[in-house]
Amino acid sequence: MPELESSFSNVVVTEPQGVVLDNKTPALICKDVGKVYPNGTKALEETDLVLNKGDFLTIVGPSGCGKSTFLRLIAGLLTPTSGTIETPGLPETKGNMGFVFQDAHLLPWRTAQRNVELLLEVVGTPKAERAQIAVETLEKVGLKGFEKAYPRELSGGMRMRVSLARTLVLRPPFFLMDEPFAAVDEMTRHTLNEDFLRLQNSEGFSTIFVTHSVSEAVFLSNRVVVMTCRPGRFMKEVSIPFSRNRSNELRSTPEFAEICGAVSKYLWEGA
Amino acid sequence: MNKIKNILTNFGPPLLLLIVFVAAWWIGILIFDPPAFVVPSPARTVNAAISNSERLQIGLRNTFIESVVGITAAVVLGVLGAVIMSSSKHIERALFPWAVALQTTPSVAIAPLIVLWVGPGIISVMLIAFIVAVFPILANTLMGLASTDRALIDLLRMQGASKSTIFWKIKIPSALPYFFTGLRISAGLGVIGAIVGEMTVGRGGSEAGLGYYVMFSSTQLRTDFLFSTILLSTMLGLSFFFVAYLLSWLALRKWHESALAPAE
Repeated sequence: MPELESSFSNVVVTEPQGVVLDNKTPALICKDVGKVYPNGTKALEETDLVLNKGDFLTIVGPSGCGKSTFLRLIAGLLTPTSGTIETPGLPETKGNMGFVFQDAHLLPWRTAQRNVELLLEVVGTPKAERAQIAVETLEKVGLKGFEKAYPRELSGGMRMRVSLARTLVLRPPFFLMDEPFAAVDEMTRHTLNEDFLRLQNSEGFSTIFVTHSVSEAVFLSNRVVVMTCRPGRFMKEVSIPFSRNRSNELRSTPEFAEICGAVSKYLWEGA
Repeated sequence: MNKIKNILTNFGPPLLLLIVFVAAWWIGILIFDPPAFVVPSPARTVNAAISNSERLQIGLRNTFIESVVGITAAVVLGVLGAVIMSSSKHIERALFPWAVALQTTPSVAIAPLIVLWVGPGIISVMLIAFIVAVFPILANTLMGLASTDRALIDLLRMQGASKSTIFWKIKIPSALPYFFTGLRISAGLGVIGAIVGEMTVGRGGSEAGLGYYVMFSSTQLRTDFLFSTILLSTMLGLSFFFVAYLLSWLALRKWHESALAPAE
């Protein structure tokens, strides 16, 4: 049962629920997922998480609390030392995860279009189809006309868009994003936030997002999870009540500020 | 107009320095008037080159062929060695110290050994050129392969990319700038290696290289001929460096900082 906090009237906060399958469609089930590194560091305590289809879940927490570890476990880049990660309805986790890093990590020797084609080449899409998909996807992320540009000719925000497009071409059911907009300026970040939200609404993928910015977390998500440190574990989950069609005006409403305040409070408690 | 300006900014300063240097050389001769076997004048040097042009042509041709073969072998085996070493930390740990040892052993000292073992011929010279030229290519390519962006490798691995896909699509292009840095160094070194080899082998006649004439002219105190041979060797080394530089520019001009025009 949700436990209501008296000091924040609009904010619905719960303890982490564990693996409880309600009547929604689960897309990702993490059960008792934990990670102990070979040197003995316990990065992540046994953690449960159910992600429903279309969820935008953001993890906030102090530096080094295991947020990235959790993301890399789901991506299959790390193997959990305990627990299981399942994607119900999909044959396996491999190939379903689109990963976006903190920096764009583009190939400097390829044009924007050829960068977007990279993963299509890996999965064996025919050449003519690759070019068409890449051009369409670049248009989707707002980079029509920049197909022939090299990464060095693009701004930081545009490079991030190419990076998004590169993952988007695979139409992954999941986007795993590790502080993707941390390296751009505030205004660019707001625009990218708004555009990415629109993209998720139209494409219908589920997202697990990691950030240090509380306002970014609240703006993007329908669920915000606060993590604590050493070992990393989920402390609180905050439900974000706004509709999924959000614009930047939301940021200046009192409700938005109130929820940000609540998340910040838990963040400090856990630090 | 722009093209002329470009050529002038690129080649003007070193050319000017060359003129200053030759002038200083000449003036020095006029003032101090040293014996010609100690320091010949520029004119004597040019005359020596003209009167020995047939020998110098043979020397240049032989040194050129030996250097090209030595450097080509260094490229092939250096890159191959780097690829093998980058595939496993164990192999790298076992092999790399020996590559360093090969590099730090003075080539002048091992050249007589090689001639002793392989025989006093063109093969020995090529081998010495190869030994001198291989290390910069090996070390730089290895460095390039090792400094590939981890995130990109992860990204491809997540989509089930094979090792060879990652190698060709990510690692090789990432290592290219490093490889070319090595090639630029090795191009000049290979010529030096060939000349050291020729000096050790000491074969004259149709097999004589520039190194042989360096030795021949210095033992005979024909310093003007020695000067012209040295100058020709330098020019050969320079042209090798220039070719390596050109190749590097052609391969990297579209994307790498080193090959891009500097911002105004």
